[in-house]
Amino acid sequence: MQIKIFIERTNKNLDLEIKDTSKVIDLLKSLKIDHTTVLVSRNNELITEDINLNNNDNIKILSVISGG
Amino acid sequence: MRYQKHELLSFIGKKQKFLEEKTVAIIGLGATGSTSANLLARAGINLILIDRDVIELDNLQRQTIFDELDIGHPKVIIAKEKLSKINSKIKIEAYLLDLNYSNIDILLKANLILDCTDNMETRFLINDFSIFNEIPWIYAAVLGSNAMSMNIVPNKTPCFRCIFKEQESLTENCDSVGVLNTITNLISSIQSTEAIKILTNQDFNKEIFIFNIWNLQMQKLVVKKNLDCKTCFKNNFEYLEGKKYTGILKLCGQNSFQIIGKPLNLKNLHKRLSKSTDAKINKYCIYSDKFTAFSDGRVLIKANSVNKAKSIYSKFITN
Repeated sequence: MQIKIFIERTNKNLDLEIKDTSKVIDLLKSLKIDHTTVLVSRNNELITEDINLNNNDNIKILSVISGG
Repeated sequence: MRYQKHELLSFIGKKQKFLEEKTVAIIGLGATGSTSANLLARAGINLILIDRDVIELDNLQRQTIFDELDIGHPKVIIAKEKLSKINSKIKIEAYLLDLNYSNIDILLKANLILDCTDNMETRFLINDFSIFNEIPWIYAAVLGSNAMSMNIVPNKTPCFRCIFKEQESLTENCDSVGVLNTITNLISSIQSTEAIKILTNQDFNKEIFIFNIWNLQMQKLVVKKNLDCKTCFKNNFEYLEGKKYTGILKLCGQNSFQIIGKPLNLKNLHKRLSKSTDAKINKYCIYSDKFTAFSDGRVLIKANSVNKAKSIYSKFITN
């Protein structure tokens, strides 16, 4: 299936072909992104790494920030 | 008269009196904390201020209540002095310490806690304390031109641990990326506004708020409770119980670490150090270009690794 992703850290938009059964964690692993350092959103809702992705999803990968 | 402009607002009005009866604890008096403290003091809210650090030259770019004469002095002491001049009618308690599981009960008097810290370990501790004692808190963080904020109100919202994971270290921090000085003011204004809503028992934001001030991009993301959350579902308060306490902490800014050791006699230590270093002493701490040492045993060290920090600690403090 096809998904669109935006990676905030690198300010990049990507179109990706992924397996039909892919979960958020599979996507992050394929992009070599540590899942503890990011938040992932779909349709303005945060989703956890165990959530299944759907065809034509628009996914944003946002960096966790910590400075004060 | 002092609060007339608040009292004129339809959504505050007589609720201004509620604010004057409340106490907010502010953890961390860096860029976000000092600005939030300034706003809340002017709004008539009593404050508990907690910070472990001293003011340095590179803080002045964004930490708006400090000036050049304050360099080398503890942030919490200077902030209390300045805020007392801004509003002498409020009560301000100031604690020069590192907030950890053994002293966090000083927050029990607070109606609300503002997270203005620079590390996730302290946020997980505040979250444990908040859920255990049912005291709300507001997460706020900045990096580059980005900011995030989220209200955590026990029994009404997901908790911090529902959303955020423990991590070894973030790949980006203020050392590598920097902080634009306008984003800290913006997130402090949002944090303080949400504080006023919560303290006056009004509807508040239940989403996570993300803003990039450079691109003027704002996102509000829906967050859901994690039905497997260690803290708010399983009631595992391991940070509050001290099980996660390490005693050594990477701080945000200038490759800094904090090591907590035995209490120090500052006069004796300074006498010894003055033979080999240019360390200076004031009534709160000893400070040099490599470290700042406090009498309670905390030492802030400039180093680019944990091992280097330990080496400096060993060379200057324990020898």
